Amino acid sequence: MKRWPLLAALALSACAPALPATEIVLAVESDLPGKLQGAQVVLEPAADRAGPALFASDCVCVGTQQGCTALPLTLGLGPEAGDSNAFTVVARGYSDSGCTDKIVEQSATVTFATDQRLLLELDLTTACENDFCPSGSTCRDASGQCVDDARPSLPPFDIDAGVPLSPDSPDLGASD
Amino acid sequence: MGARRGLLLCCFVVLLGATDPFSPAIAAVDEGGLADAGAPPDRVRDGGASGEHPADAAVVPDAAADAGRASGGTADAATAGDASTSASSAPPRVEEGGLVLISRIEGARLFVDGLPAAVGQPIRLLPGEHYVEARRDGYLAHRIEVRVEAGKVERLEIDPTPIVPVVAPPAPPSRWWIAVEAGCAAVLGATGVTIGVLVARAGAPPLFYEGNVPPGFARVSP
Repeated sequence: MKRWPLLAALALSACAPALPATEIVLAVESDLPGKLQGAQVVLEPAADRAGPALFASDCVCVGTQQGCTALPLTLGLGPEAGDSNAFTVVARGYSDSGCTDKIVEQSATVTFATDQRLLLELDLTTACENDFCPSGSTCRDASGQCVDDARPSLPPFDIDAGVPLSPDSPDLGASD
Repeated sequence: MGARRGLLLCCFVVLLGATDPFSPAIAAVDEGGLADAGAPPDRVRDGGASGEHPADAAVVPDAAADAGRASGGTADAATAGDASTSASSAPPRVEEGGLVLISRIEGARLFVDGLPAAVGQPIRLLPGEHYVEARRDGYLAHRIEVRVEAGKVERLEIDPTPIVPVVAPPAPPSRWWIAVEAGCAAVLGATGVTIGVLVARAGAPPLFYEGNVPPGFARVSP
């Protein structure tokens, strides 16, 4: 009889919320839904540490049609054990679903924060269409100027709430 | 010669009577058949002449004693056979009591003061303490002490004690059993924890967020 309280305690402890994870959740939005047909996410070393790409996603067909992915595009990023170096996240938009004609690009240089799940939002905006910046910088506004893409601080991300939808996102669940 | 022979015989008889310790006690059979000869006055009457139980004469029911008297004028002829002695020297009469022994166990043998006794028939006993015992093969002897009062015939039911198999009480758990139980508890606990973790993880949010861009989650080694 004495073992049941122990079992109950162990079972309750097993049901406890998961430990906080070290993660950056990338969310890519765009106000070019008509033009944007394809997208790709690439992870590169920070500008001060040249090297090959850390990760490159496949070309993603963007849209609400069959076989494509609706905006926002999302991707979870986690560090290998012990890695805390900065890296650059690049989101590229293409006018075709084969990702050959790049029309817009956004980047941000970020760093993982231990035991924190952070949100990184990149907007492929019309203002930055065909405005490409050199490594370490990104287009920020309609002036076409390139600014440092470092994002020293990111907002926290609630994994239960999910990625917030932008007002321009299509309501796929609407029936009217 | 005849007179001298007769005188010698008389002397012999007188001497014999004087040397027999029980001779003066030989009692005449009273009208109610409760007195007896051959037995010491403080014990059960009947059967004293056998010599084996001078103090504990065999007990016979009244019916047997009566039958003996009826057949030859001797008291308790069935067992004693010496009760026909003259009552000329009878001591003061001692009023007797009696017992009627009953046993519900078929085949039970009853004894009074160690001597066999009939079942269901009145037994004459001198007043005082007596031991009644019931025996039977396969049973434990049951012995009780009863007090017989003068002038009363008590009914007494006595049975040998059945031998009841003794069932040993369950032994307390030994140390090795406690260890086995603790081991089982540990295994059960570990299993419960594993199942709990699996269930919790199945219903809980993933450890990492998985997006809609394949592969959903990417590990980075900057």
